Amino acid sequence: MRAIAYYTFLECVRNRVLLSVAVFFVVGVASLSFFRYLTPAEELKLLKDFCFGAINFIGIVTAIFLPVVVISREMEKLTIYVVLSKPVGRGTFICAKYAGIMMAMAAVMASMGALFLCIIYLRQGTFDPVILKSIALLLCKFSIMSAISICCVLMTTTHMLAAMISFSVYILGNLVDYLYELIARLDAAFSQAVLSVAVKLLPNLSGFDVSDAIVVGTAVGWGYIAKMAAYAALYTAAVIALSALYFRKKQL
Amino acid sequence: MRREGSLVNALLLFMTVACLACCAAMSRGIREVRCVTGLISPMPKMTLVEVPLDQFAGAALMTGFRGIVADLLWLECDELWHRGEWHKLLPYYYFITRLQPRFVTVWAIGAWHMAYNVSHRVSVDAEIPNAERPLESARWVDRGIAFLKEGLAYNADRFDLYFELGWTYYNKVNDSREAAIYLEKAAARPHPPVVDRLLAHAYQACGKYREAYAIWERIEREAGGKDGPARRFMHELKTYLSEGK
Amino acid sequence: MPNAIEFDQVTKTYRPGFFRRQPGVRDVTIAIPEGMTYGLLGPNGSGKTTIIKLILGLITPDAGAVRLFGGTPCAALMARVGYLPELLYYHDFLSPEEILRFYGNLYGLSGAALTGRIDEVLALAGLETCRRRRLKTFSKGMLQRLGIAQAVISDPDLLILDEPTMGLDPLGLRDFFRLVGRMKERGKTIVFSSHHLTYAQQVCDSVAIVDRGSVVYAGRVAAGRPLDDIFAEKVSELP
Repeated sequence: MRAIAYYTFLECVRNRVLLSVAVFFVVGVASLSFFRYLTPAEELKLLKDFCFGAINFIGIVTAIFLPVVVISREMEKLTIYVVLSKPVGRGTFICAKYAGIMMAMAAVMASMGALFLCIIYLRQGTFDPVILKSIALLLCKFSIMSAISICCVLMTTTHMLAAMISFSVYILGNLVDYLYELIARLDAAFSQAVLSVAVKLLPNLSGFDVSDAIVVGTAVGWGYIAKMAAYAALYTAAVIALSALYFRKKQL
Repeated sequence: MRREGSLVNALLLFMTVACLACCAAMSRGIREVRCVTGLISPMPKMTLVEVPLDQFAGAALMTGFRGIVADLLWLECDELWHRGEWHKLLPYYYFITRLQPRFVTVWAIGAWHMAYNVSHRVSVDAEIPNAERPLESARWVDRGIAFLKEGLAYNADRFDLYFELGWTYYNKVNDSREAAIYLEKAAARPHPPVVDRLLAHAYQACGKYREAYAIWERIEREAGGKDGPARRFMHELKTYLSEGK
Repeated sequence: MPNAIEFDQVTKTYRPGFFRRQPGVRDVTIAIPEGMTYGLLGPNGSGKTTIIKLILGLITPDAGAVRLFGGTPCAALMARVGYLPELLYYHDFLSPEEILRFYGNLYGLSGAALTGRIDEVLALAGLETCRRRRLKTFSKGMLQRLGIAQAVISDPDLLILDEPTMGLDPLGLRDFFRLVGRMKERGKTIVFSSHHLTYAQQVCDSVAIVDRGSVVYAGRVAAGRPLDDIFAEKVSELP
């Protein structure tokens, strides 16, 4: 399993797309230096918002498209036949692929996080370690989305469909709180019950976004982070188990 | 081998169901936890019915990007302000505050525009009949105050909007009693010295000389006896108190 | 001799669409004893790849039973199998050394033992001089050599070779037949799938000719009876 995870990680980092993403992040942040007519507090807020937004955008695109690229390529080029002709269980294969993708995601997030901290240090003269809490939560969110993307790639026939379904789940996951409100307003008990179950099965992604709170200075406790990390771990485990179960039965 | 395979499949299925069930149980509670820990303010007024669908969709979709969109809209507001296109600013303020209710600056400056700039503009607007101008101007002051009060629902832990309300009541509406109420709340939270000074003025304006004197005395003490204006106000208040006012 | 591979009335039908059915193989019964070199021959689309996929456990039969070393094909049994695929796709962002290390790790090999084995198979495949080049730059013949190297890295008991001679130059062919000879001497089982009947005649002990999903001939290779004649006789004309 370690071998598959390591070589998946290698495949991801040798991919030029990640390099382009890193360049985009640096260029974007550098362009913020043109907004000098704001007050210092507003400038800092703009910088933090942009960095968080960029990390979120890059992260979600990577979390959705990396599994699509890595696994689809494996299935299209039939390299999967060579791997599965070795003593590798199908469930192990899926878990190892996921581990490799997450190692690559963690490397990307760590790089962007380090850059973010340096930029804030250059602007305000102090390190702001609370930013790392937000990045840790974002990584938890992306772990869920990567697992969902893997599941979609295995169960669908085309890349685009897998990416679209993953992105739809991402949008719905961010709307879960609103959906609960909507369900409360429904009259029919049956519709309420059915939709409640459906909404509960969606990943509640809004809980992973604390960048707004951090930018305005609200404290984020480690207890909250632990709770959300546990939620992410459980949800990811469920999706990966489902993917492994499906893949074990899939006729290749 | 086949039995082992079935066992593994059953285990995977159990794991899927068990983990999803745990997540389902935790899902609803996540919002409550966020409210309790202060990561988000409760939404007392903004419900799905009241928010136009496109704003709702935009706000929801922009989770994670709300900050950037709010900042870019705020930059646009700055442009509009300098061009004098104040009438276009209001929808921007409403949208930005829906995206980031904790962006205190928007509530404060938005309210200031309404209560001061727009209020003055309509008082000299040739297109509005003379008789209606004072009423229209007063309406804009009221709108500014209402905007600040709405912002308080999301930012009750900070002094900023209490201070803005206190200032607006004191300076624009000339209601020092109402001003004192809000300034007291601002002073009860971490705040800069200007809050205490304005509170002292508000107290004096509404006849609460002892309270005002106590504040100036504290300011003077904290400044090590070097605060000239504080000493002057204390002297003035002493005179009022000795006259039995 | 116990059987390395057994097919007992195996049927497999593909389902490319919800309502569409495509036959793979029908009522296939073959037995390949250990130590035998067995040829799977047939025209394109006859079902040879389906049989190989069934052996490797990549697909499961709709009817009948497939047994590999006496058990159902599973991950644990793949430790005794080496597979050379027909299509020459590997992880092209890696070098031969990295690929062989990766596949060796999957077999549970590591450390000095794996390094030694990598050196051996690279020498066997004639790829020592380009062990660190990315596979993106490799020709078809070089990829085929690498394929053979990765198939034998764990010294498997069963070798499944799908079109192993494709893309090989005369020197490559010579080395390939030498390798097959050495594997036969050591009692390894080899399943050899190819269109080249002359090569099959040269290396195989027995063959099965597959046409339209059914085994139309199964028997020993006799020097006196060329496979070309049997093939022409048993395989129906294309419409």
